[in-house]
Amino acid sequence: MMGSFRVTMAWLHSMLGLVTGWVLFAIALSGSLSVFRQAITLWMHPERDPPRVDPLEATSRAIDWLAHNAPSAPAWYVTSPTAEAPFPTAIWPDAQGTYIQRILDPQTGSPDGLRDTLGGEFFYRFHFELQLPYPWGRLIAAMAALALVVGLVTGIIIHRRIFADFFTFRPKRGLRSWLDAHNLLGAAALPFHLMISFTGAVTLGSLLLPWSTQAIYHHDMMASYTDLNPALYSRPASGQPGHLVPIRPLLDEADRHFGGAGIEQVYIFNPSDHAALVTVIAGNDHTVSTTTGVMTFDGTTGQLINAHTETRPVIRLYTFLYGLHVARFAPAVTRWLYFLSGLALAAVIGSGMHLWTLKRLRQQPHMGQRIVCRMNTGILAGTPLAFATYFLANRLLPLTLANRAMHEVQAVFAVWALGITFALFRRPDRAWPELLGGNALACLACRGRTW
Amino acid sequence: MMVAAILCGQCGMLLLAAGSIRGSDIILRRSLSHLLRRSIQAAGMLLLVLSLVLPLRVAQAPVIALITWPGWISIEIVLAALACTVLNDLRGPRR
Repeated sequence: MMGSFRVTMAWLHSMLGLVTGWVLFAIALSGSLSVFRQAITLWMHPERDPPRVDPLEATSRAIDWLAHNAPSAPAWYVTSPTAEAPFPTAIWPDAQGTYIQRILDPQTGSPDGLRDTLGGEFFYRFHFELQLPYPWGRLIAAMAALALVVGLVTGIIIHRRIFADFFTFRPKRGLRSWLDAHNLLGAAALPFHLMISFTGAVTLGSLLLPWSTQAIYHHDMMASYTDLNPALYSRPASGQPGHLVPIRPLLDEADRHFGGAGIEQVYIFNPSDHAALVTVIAGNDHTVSTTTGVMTFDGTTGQLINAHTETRPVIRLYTFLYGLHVARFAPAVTRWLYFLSGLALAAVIGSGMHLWTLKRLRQQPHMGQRIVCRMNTGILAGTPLAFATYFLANRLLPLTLANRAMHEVQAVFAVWALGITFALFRRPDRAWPELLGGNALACLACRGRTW
Repeated sequence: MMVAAILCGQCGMLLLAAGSIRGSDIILRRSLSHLLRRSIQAAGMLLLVLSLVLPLRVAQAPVIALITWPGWISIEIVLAALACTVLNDLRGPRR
């Protein structure tokens, strides 16, 4: 009975790995990189070291710039500077509804002179959206996170003996060495892997289990958002033109109200309309949970409409789990440990996928297994190469190129497709060292030259 | 304090490795009695607990210290395993 249970768990572990392994590997790798998304964004803007400006002043200047340069946008979303990211970031929709994201100079509030790039935001977004339209990317990421939870639990069941003696790595023994590496990294970072997969699934839980929300709110998603964020109030534009009050006094009032947590984001809805709204969201320094305080002001009078500090236990539990996943609270050491544990997760997934093919190739593999083997090579060695290309494209593309940020992202997918195609048509024993050599060269090119 | 905690954790992990059947063969070059292995493992666990308590006592945000600790443990496990591998390669298998 116990034997058949473990056999079933082993089958489930393999099948989940086979079905979701490729996407999980890319999610784990991009998630690890997005731990340093602020640092990556800084690296990708080498034009100048941003001067340290008071965060409220920098945010206020960013909003002034938007008022002059995107007055007809229905909303502006501005992220305040922090110690790690000493520049404001603005997102706003253009006339076609396409969202534009730019880093702004903290002194002038303008993006002029700063190259157009998504920076570390690309890895962060790719990690849970996979560069696919809503909701498909998030849905796939949510299902992959759930599969990872099940894969970890089934892995614990089938490799349970490893916990009696997990200090084992025997190199140069082929299949045995890969199994040792898979087990060692899986066992060593197991608490992190369980935490990150569970909190990932919880973060996207409303996509996995939408029925309770639908049963209560009957497709009125705005009502559910209002219940979740009572002060994140919105209203339609009135059609009458209006002028925003000076923003700085509102930011000062919110900053005093949040009592040292600082300001993380400012949303301005209907900025040129009489029904303008200014929503200020508190920072979360030294707390694991994400946002706990929100204030909304009338944009034309400056009058406080609503203020909410989150105290509801269930919402606080959710923001704690979400905060644990995104690690915005994390000091440098914790960030590095998140990064290394994330890489360990990618290595566990990669070694598991490689083990699957090694086992099959020892027998008489059929065509499907040979294709999986080659795809594994393309994904495992091609994904880091594609990500390294993103950094290279940031330095190689002309600064004045139109839609430069989009071309950087296109370079990632072009190299990824090339890497997979190369692996499909090349013998794996040749493709592995060649693609990994390409990785090494790309990383050296990023690091080794003063650009 | 952080360095002391990391050293405690790494020593504790090496003791846990030395207290395992395979690890005692590699690190101590002898098969230990069950009682002795359990004693070594208990000492290792004690050092691991100390590696958690030390940063918790000085942390401004204990919850962050608590989240960081498993990350250090992961690295210490991998280093202990690699130490066993290197020792085994240098000395050659005993059996």
